[in-house]
Amino acid sequence: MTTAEASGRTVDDAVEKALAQLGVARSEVEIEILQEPKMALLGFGGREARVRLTVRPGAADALGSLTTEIVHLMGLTTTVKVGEAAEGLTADLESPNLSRLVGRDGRALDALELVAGLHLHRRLGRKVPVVLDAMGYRAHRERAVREAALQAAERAAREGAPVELEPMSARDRRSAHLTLKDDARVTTSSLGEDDARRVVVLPRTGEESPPTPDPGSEPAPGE
Amino acid sequence: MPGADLRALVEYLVRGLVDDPGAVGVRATERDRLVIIEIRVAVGDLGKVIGRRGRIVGAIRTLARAAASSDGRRVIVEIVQQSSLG
Repeated sequence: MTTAEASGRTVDDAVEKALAQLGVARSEVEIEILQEPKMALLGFGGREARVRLTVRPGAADALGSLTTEIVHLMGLTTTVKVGEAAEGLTADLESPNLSRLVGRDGRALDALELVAGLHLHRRLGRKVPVVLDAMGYRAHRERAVREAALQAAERAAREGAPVELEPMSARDRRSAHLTLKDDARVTTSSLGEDDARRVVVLPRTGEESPPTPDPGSEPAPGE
Repeated sequence: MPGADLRALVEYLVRGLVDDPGAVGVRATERDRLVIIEIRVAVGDLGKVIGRRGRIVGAIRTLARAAASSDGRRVIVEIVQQSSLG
């Protein structure tokens, strides 16, 4: 753990100096006031503020250690590799107990991701987006969801009737919506509450309408 | 692999969520391979443990179940409301 001490005319000045020594942001340190400043009277008897700053473990270290701790308490074995992405932190879990760590349709992994993110927020005092993965599970799952969405679109277009996908997490529903966003044959929406929430793939009305140049727009009304 | 200590797991999960970790109490009773876990937290922390639409306590249940599944135990996780009078 790294610490630095500095003095200044005010506590704030002292903190700024110590931060400059450490080269970190204020949110990354614990501040201890060693001496409160006292105003000088006619130039005499003044006292500077003195502070000690201690760098808290970084976000990446904190995420790695708390994730490892939770998985171990679950009675599972894991090695966690933390990475920094543009949008936040990623933690990749390697484990011989992969299926239990991931759970059905990734539910356990999603639960771990939610709790790890909240623990980290509390420890750091600021929100850092966290994405957890386990041995390529996220990419594998996304492919499976895309595949299911495309098959549903095929069937909805062929039969001219809505097709429901299995209930899935918000993340997975998003993949399904995005997969079919530009599909000229179908539109998508969601149905049901909580654990039963699922994507519905609906055939567009107006069978012979050509693919619209602007995929974001509504289908052309039938003439 | 010996069964996971579900009480310790839930306690760790809850303590990391609340403003007042000192007020967290977690009790586990087990009978016929059914583990009942009761969580007590400061009244002001209830929302942080439950979450919107029960999302956070749902995640705690999912993790406790995943931990218990190795040895075929079932788990019930409940948040016990305590009156402000104690």
